[in-house]
Amino acid sequence: MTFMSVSNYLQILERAWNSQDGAKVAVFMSLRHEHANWPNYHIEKPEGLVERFLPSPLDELVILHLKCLFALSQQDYMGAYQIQSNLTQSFTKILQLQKEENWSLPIMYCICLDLRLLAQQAEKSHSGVNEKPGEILEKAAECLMGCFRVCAADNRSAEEDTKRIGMLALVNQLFKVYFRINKLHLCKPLIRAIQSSPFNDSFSLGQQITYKYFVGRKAMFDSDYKMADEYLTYAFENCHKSSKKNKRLILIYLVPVKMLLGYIPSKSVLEKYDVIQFWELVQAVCQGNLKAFDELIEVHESFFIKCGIYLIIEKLKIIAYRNLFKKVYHILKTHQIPVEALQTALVYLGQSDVDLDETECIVANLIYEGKIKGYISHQHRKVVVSKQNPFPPLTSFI
Amino acid sequence: MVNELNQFITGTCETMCPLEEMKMREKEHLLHILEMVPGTEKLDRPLADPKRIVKSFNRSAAGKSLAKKSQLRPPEVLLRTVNYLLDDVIQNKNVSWTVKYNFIMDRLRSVRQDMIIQNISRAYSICLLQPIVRFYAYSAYKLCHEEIGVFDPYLNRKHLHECLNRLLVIYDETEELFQLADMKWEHLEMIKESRPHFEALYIILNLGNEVALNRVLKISRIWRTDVVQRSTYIALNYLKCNFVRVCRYMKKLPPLLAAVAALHLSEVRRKYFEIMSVAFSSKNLTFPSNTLKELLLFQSEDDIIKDCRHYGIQLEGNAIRFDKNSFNKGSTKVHDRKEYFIEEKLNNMNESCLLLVNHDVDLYVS
Repeated sequence: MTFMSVSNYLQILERAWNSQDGAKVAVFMSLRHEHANWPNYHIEKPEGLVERFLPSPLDELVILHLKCLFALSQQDYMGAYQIQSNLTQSFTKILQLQKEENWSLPIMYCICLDLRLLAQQAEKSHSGVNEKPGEILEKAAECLMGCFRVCAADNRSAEEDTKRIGMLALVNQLFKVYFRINKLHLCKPLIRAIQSSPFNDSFSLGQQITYKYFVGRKAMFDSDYKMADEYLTYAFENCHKSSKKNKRLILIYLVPVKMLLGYIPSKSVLEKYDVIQFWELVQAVCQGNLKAFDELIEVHESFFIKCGIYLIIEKLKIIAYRNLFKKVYHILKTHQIPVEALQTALVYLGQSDVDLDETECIVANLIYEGKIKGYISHQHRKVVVSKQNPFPPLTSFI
Repeated sequence: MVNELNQFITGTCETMCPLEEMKMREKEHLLHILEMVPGTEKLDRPLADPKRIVKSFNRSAAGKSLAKKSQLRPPEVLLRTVNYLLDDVIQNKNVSWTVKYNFIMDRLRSVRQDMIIQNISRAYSICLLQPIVRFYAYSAYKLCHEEIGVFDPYLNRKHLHECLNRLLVIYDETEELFQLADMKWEHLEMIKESRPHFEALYIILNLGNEVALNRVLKISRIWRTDVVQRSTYIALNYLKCNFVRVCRYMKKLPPLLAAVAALHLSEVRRKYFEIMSVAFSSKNLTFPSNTLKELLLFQSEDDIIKDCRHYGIQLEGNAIRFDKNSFNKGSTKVHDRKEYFIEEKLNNMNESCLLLVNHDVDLYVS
């Protein structure tokens, strides 16, 4: 048994192209579509056959597509990537020539997604001694940028025909590459291009969610937690409830950001999305249990590092200090807390080499940031806290 | 792509300076004092000393080819040149350190240029870049107190970053060699020993920079040796503004790292002064300057007084009166100064050993 014959396939493609049905062409140009798996589509030299059925410029695209399928059937990922890269470049040229129309954007989305996925595959298969990691993905990003430029430059067409509507999908593909090869600084001009685009609301919801997710993560790395909160919250709330995997990914970043801003995630949410690792951490921070906190950081170290949230988790320790000192304040029931009492608490919770001066330093930081209201008297070794609201709620800062 | 390797040429110049350049510079009075035959310095036309003259840095320009075989030094000669500069020249007692610095900096730049034009192997690149990086790092501290006209810290730092980043990229590229158990490459041992030191240098140099910290968190565990862990620890505490701990651990670093760390001290002190101005703010309470001297590694109370004046902090005898309204928020940090605890560490060290020998654990001061 085989899938439909190749000649039949070519006829469908031609009809779809002529009637400007971008979505249909996209389906049949996808490496992830069913036809890609059938041996009768794995043709080494498809030129003669294709040219008999298809006019220019479609023939060129389909020839490259079939060649790519052949390379894949030989498990030649590097070769397949090269062909897909040529295909993307050919398509970019065609796209540029299509003035005042944007029906072919779905084809672009499909080709570009396949290109990135292939580049990732090629990276994996090509990790030889003499290769530079990330090189292929970087080349793929250049190719995507070519498409992006064509879309971004299309400012003459009417709103319903503009190719600029395709920018966001490309930006998202580029984000995925840049995050993978750790070149976050390259995201900045892309973000600016999207922010200044007048079509913000016309982009599809799915694309917007992906976009917000990456920009939120970038903001987190730049220590702009307010923006990170805003973007990641949008992504989380709008992400469809059936996409549990995506919601989980968003939460991995949203939870630490929220905690740093003074919010406490509920256990049920963490459980529901399988990020229960955070629950113990939440408790340690809330209780000011530095010992548990240090242990958890050690246990989950590789998970935190892999996700790139290790540093933000480290910063949560400051919140844990505040909560611990608040406890001491409540126990002693005095507005003049001896520094020694705080030090004792720190030492008791495993911060064994902390002395009075360092304790004062930790308190000084909290006062400086407004997390404790009061002042330190070094002479008396006392922290004198405000009679009213000495530990303002953390959420009141931002 | 495959044949690109053959496009790079290999030099044939067997001396530190090509003969042609030597003649030209002798004729045009372009010899550095360290390149003249001793005794001829005062002559109308000083003579070039073939044993001491080193190829100088030449900017690439249109119409000028830098890729002439006879003008390029092969890797072994480059290595010899670097050793000459960082051993013989640096130990020269007849000229000042700034004269030596300017000479060495320029000549190292031409070494880097020759490296790049010939695209020399990774092993050689590592051998050359390591001492070069150490030289820039050491100079950054050694000359930190100088006026901008004598020493440009910005330019020096630029060279330092360029070389160090290049070095780290090469380390990353050789990473996989370490995963092949049967791989025998004589340089692996050398990398194993020296790489942690440069990873640590990268963290300490970029204190407060989260990108640098994220790098070290992601490198393979085999590189997280004691010195890297200590440096990471300092950087994490810097991130949390625990400056008391930062200063304490800074003192325990090996000499070169401590010297680079000390370059952050004026910033650390400024930041902590600002924090203290808020947290210790009081109309009648004071903070003893003696304690502060210990905490922030000041050499003397004189230095504290200078800093306090600079930031608008009031002094009362031997005590500091912090006031959140008097701290001058717009002030820039004070000019870097030499730090006594670094001087102590460096005092009994031979400079060329510091720059050329891969450091070992026995150099730790605790």
